[in-house]
Amino acid sequence: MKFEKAVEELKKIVEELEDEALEVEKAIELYEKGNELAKVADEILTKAELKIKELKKDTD
Amino acid sequence: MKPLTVSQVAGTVRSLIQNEDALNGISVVGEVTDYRGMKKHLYFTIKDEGANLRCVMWQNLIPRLKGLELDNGMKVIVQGDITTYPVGSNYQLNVKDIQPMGKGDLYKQFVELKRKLLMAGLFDESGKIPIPKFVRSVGIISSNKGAGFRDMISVFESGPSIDILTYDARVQGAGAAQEIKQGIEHLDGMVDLIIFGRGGGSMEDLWCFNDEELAHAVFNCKTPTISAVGHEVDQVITDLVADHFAVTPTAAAKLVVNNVMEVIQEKDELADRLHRVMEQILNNARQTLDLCDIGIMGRAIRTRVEREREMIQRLREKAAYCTDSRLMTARGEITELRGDLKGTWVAGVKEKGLTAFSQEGKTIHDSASLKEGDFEAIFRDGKVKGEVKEIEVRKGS
Repeated sequence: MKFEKAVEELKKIVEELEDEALEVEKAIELYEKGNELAKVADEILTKAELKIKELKKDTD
Repeated sequence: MKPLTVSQVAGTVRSLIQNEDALNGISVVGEVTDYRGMKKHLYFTIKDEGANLRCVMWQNLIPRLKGLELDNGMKVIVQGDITTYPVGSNYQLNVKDIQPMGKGDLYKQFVELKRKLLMAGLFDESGKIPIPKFVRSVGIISSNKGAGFRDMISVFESGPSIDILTYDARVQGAGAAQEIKQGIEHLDGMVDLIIFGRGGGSMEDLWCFNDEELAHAVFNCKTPTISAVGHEVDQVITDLVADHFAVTPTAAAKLVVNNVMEVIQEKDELADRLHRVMEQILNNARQTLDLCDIGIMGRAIRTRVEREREMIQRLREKAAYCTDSRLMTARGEITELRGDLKGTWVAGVKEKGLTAFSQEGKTIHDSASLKEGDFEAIFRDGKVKGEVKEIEVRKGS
């Protein structure tokens, strides 16, 4: 999953959770999903490192 | 002196100027201004900090320009003769030739290429790919020895983690445009974003970014591109073709880093909000639950209190019963004892007026128990002390 997509979905979930009319069971379910998305986003972040790699120029 | 006509004065001025060597066959340096495009003849003004000079080039001389197109702001060397324009009471330069000054040649090429590419749709906004806010990898095409490159790397090093792929390319002189073009074609599809550019320089230094082939390569690149050529005023062609342009390499790198940080921050804030809202929901649920608990506990307590009360009542009753029965028993005992008492000698003495004898602290009931010596006789109304002198026990008693 892409980071931006995860963030976007997380945003939707948070907004839904902030709707007070939600049942606790449904809220917990959404929370777990949101938590998972935040984790995915974190993983994407930790995977990226500042690797500076030089490409070889084409000789042609 | 006979008054002169206006035309006579104008004629004199004109002939004076036309015969002045210093004003004929001259070359004048200036910046083109007030140029409103090619009419039948070419009219424009050249200027410097202190003055303006009207210029006119007659139609028959224009072929001398060999396609040179004037533009406002262009620096030129104009050759010609000064003459007057009597109707306007002013002077002007009759232009015989125009040479672009210094970078004028380049400028001409630039203007022409710009127009050509504009017509071909390379600058169209509709063809621009939005710069993604979150990128994980960036390709940098620049000279690895250049200041612009170092500036970009230092910005990326201070920001969030992003993979950097560098493509070392010359960014000045012959072959530079070709190398940058190859870099773009090479990196296209390998990274999320491509930045190409260099630090500032003269128009000649930056010339490779005004290359037609390079412009097409940038336009055809499917990966979003940022043209990051340091400049103060003039844009280069790649600035117009690229999806985005930055005024310096540093600005380009900062744009990328800031965008990424913004998205990360958004994620962090959302995660915080997620936890906060869940905590709130759970707190609310807990409170509701607590209220239920109090209800249940209330009932339990009431039940228990009731039970205790009952128990206490029972205990009380039991206690009362016990007390009563004990009292009764005691009363019975007392009555019994009373009865017993009534049968004793004490009762005999007290109630029937009998006499009791006691010797050495013991009550004597029969003569056989008496010994010779002191005794005490107890009457209903007092005691008498005496001495036993003789004891005669009746037989059969």
